Amino acid sequence: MQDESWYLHIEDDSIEQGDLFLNVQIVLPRYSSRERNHYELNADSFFCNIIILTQTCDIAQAKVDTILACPHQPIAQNDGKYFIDEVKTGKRLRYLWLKGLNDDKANMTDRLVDLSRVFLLPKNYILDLAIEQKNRLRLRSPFREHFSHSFAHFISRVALP
Amino acid sequence: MNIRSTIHDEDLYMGGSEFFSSISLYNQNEDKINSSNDEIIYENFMLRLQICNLNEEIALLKGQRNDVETSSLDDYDDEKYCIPTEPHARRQVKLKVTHLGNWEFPIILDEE
Repeated sequence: MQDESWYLHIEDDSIEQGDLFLNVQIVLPRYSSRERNHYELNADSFFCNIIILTQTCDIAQAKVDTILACPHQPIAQNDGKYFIDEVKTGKRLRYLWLKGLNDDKANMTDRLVDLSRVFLLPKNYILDLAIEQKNRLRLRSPFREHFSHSFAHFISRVALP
Repeated sequence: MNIRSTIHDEDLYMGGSEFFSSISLYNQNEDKINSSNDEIIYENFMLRLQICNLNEEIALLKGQRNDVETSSLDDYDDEKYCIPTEPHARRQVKLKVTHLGNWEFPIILDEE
């Protein structure tokens, strides 16, 4: 049986860093090719799963009106055991491994978080999702801190073009 | 207030707020000019144009009205350049949204 201590079951509409949401609509602006200093603005929309990156205190104290989030998805069979082991041991800074959960309230397989992709979402939209998606999962401490530190580590890594 | 504004290509700024005064104003009805309007603010998602010193431009136009070719307005495509025809107008832009369904990020395996 998998260890459930990684997560809390959330049934209220609170939002904290480390909250997992499913089937979130992301809208990215798309600009047409530049013509006479003019862009035609359109957008692409898709659905993915996200984990909240914005600090809990910034959300609770209403210091932000937008929420940062990274996508997460189940580990695929073809991702390879060697690759996953490297992610688990911190050798793949771009990704974070999240342990799955299987209990009477949730059945979630192991996940990968892509720390190189960050979406900015309206806080009101996430609030609506929190009301809509009951029985959500929230990373417990210290796994939540490990998640935010992993993002900071990835974004501040020393790298060359 | 019935003022049409035109911004030249070289004065169009994307993704920021810029001050500039090199606009051409076409006054279709001088008597209705309200000189208390200081600025035209237009916001469009990633586009923000801020035009200041409108009073000066209006005053300039009042003295040069005979030089203004209002006929060119007929050929000007406000919609294309996203220029509001009313001061203080905030235009709603309709976006064509392409729905791509579910999405998963690709895994980069060969990263050092």
